[in-house]
Amino acid sequence: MLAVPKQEGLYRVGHRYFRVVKLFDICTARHEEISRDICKKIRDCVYMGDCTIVYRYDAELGRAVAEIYSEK
Amino acid sequence: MEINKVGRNKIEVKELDRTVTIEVNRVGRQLLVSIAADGKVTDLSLKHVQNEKLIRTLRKFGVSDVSRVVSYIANMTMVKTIEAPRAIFMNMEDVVDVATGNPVGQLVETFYHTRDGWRMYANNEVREAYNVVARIKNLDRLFWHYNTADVNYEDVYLLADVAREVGEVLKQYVVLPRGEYYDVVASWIVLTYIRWAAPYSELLIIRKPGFGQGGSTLLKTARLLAARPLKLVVNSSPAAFYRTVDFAMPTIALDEIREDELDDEKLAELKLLAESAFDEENVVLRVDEGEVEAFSTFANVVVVDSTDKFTTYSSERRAWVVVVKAAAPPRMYDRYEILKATERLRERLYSIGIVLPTVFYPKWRQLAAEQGVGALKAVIEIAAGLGQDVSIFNNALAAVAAQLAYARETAALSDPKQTLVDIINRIIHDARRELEDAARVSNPHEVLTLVEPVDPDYKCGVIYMQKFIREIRRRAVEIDRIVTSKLDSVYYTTTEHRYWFRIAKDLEMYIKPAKIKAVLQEMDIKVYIDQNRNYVVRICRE
Repeated sequence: MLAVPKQEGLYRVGHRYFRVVKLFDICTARHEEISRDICKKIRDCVYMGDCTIVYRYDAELGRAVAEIYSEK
Repeated sequence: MEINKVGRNKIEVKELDRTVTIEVNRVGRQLLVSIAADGKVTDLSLKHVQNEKLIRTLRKFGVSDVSRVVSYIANMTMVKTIEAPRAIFMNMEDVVDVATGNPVGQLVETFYHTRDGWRMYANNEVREAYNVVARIKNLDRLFWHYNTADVNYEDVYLLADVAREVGEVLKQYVVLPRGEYYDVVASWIVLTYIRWAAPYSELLIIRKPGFGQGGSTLLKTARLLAARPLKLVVNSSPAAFYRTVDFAMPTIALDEIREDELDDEKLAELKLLAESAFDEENVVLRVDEGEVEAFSTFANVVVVDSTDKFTTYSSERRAWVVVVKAAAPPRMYDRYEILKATERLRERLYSIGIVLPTVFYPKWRQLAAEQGVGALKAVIEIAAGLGQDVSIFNNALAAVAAQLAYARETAALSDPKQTLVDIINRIIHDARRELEDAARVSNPHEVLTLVEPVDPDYKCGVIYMQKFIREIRRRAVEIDRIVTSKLDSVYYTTTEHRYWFRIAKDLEMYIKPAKIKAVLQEMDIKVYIDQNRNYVVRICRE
């Protein structure tokens, strides 16, 4: 869905914030299935393959997290 | 409890035994919320979503997790609408890694308008876009065909086939004297689908030696095959016309513009449009309901130019020209048949038109910036990169590049200012020669006619401005001669040669002191005032 990289992290596209999470380091078929199921339960979530999901943060939450990130 | 989004402004809340549908609409500052379940509907008019009345109603409908539903509705109402600038537009955004603040990629989203609403194409995927507002209705009445909803990345691999097919359709309906003209027209047609993303669009000029040569047939066929062809042109009201062109970037076909058939205002308008349609940045200002509005004139224009209305130097530099020839037996133009036979072809073309600039954005942008052949070069480079046969585009590029080079070489013919610059250069060259000769010979004052020397060594001299202008005028003169005995007139009984001297009509407007001063300034030649308060041009030999 999005041109975000597969690396874990928080990405900003304009005013939209996206979180990329790799759910399992060792990704078997069973793990993939679980990841896909988890993604289905999150709003605006896309499964990127390889047990990695990307989902959209609400604008306010995204800004708040980005602020924490930048303080780090 | 489960929440499902069923539309832009509609959700379904599934409880154990029932389903509640909630729809939110914004009217001015008010929100209209309709809650429906089991055939019972309750409507609420609210200022904010976080409202007691809404919470109570939701409870009444048996929604268990009210706070989650309210937050969902709040999110839905926050969606901002975008006023669409055009029927197709691109949105570019950097993907920034928040941790480092560095851009890690670029997201190119293309929004396009179809008969069934807006779509967005990004990352090889088409989605419906709900938050875009179009300013146009009645598409069927305006265009012969319009953007199709289906866009598929795989279609770019068919680019060469599609171009060949367009060429074959052309061959079926029109006869052109040279083979490469089919490639030029086919390439122009393919590009009409992609030019919405380019900074320039090229004019296609159809030339013909006379009437009945098939110019209009080619024009109509090319129009039907090109992107978003407008149905009518000449008799539309300017406001409606500009609005449509501004929004849709259509293909406009102009046939046989003749001064005697159109009133001056309309002719001027069409000329302005055709001359300014080439640049994406050009706009016309018009007063619309008491407010000044800017309308873009960017469009794909094809003209049959039998009266050479559009053959000016400025249009020559970006025009693609084809010449038509009468066919025997004449080919028949059949709109119904063409439209029916090319439906799939057009769908592919629309699809390619969206995908190509979106997916190959950096390369497209870099190459398409060149006026005249940039878009064609970009298509060749991208298609060749995908391993396709680009011979049609290459043939067209060769033909068009040759035309544009010819237009540049012969600029002096169609550009009177260039002629004036040539005359001034020749005068200055002659003045220098006079100074050189004067330094060499024993009778310098007989040599000097143009220039007055300012030093005894004849290194430098001046030309008086009056003399300079007179000299320009003299060199711009054309001479007509008649031999009276060859005339049929009864008044001449003797043989006599008569001459007319007149300044070439094209140059007349440039031979004015102010304009000559401006041209001299452009050529980096200064005009001085000498001690007798005469204007002079100073010239030194090398």
